[in-house]
Amino acid sequence: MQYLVNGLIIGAVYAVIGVGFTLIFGIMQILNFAYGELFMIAAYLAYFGVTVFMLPLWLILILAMAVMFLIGFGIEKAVILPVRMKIPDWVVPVILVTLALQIILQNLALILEGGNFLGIPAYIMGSLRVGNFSVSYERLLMFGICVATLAGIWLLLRKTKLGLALQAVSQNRDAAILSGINTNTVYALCFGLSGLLISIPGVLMMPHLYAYPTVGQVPIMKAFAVTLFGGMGNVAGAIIGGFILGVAETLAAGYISALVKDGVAFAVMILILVFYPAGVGTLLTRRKLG
Amino acid sequence: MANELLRVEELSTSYGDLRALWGVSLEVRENEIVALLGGNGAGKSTSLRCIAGLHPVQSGTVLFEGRDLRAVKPHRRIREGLVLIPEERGIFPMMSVEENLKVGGFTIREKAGLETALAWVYGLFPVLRARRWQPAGSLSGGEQQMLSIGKGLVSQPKLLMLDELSLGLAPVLVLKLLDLLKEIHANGVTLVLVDQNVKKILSFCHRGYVFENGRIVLEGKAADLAADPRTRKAYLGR
Repeated sequence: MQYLVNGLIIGAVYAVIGVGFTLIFGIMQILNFAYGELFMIAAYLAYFGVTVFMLPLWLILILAMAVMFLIGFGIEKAVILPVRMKIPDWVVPVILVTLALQIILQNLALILEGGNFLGIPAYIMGSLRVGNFSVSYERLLMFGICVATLAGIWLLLRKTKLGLALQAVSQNRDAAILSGINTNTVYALCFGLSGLLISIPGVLMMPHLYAYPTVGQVPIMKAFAVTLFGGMGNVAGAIIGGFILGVAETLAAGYISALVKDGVAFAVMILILVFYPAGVGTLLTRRKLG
Repeated sequence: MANELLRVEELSTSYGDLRALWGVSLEVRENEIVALLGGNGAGKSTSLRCIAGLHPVQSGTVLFEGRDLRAVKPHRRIREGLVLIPEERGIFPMMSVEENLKVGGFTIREKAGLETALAWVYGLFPVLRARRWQPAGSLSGGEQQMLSIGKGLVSQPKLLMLDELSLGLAPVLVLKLLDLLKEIHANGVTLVLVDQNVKKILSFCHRGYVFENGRIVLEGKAADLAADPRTRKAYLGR
């Protein structure tokens, strides 16, 4: 029971990480290898928010979301758009650009902040005890914020005009242009949205991790696992995949050994690629975005 | 004579090293129905894609209502009243019929305006209203073609260009679609049709252009083209 609860909580975080990653694939058919580095930037933002500026958590979170949206949007406009304009078949070149960006951002962090592991104390102390199991308030809050974020993204995709445009571009790019949708704006917004999504776990996970240049390796592996599990570009699949990965990891850590925990993500990836490469999301819905 | 709506002058383009259009010139006047004819790879679809902005123009000009379209980005052309219904059905297979039509009306800002436009399209294609919540990919070929036409009409275009209307459709359905196009034309929409079905199309259109190897080799009134043996020759090669 305790494991299940912990698993669902971390699963909500993985779901948010996965959605931010799969969204870009769903709309642009590219992998963003610099996704983990956006997490890293958010982690540094949280660190400085707490230690230097001594801001409250809610303010750090809102500022990080805003800043990361702008960074995502800016990355698309500054380095990806020029490549897309030059090369008609831009999918592979753009993936390489994100790979370069990953290396550049990691080294930039190393130059600016050094390789130190920067940690912060818990945002909130104390835990909720019911019977013989307990959950820290901080994890409850993390769960609440992540679930609200997932609900928000679902509403955005299904109920707003922006969501309609995102879906249209993902399903038939030419037809979207002919309908008056500016694909360049959609792509930049998509990167911004992805940055906003990854900033949430980046800030909330900080007390459990450290900020250091390669911290992004952890979330990007989870993002890959969740995305593959749900089907590339499938948002609903990524949400389910996130929860399943969270529970599977916690159970494996609890009943087998904490050492196998990170291996679970890889095991999930291999199993899904062997037995159901389309991803479980396709069982739920043929529609990719929400 | 009616006002000129579309004028294409000396349009040339290529796919990589392969030249696809060699100085194509044509014009479409208000309230006309114009056919673009010719065999596979003759340049009809490429011309439409250039006009709509999906394919880059290498040289030549495209004027819509006298305005040079080079100054109008591809996604802004629908706002000028220029709509292309692409080959292979320009629909979104995983969205519902209604969502497809809403994307077609993406440029309409007011909710009331969108409702009116949707009602007009549903009036023309009652089958779409019956299937409005169904995923577009689950419709039959004919229904998908109706949806792609309907989607193009939501923005209430001045000029509607249809690429390969009858592709893969049963002859009965083609006749039905042509009847519907007549009604759409009666609503004041100018039409440009690309089709392989020369006989049916020419009996329906006012004027036509015959393409061969990326050039226009013949143009004139539909009845004259239908009677001209060279029209047949352009299709059959020799």
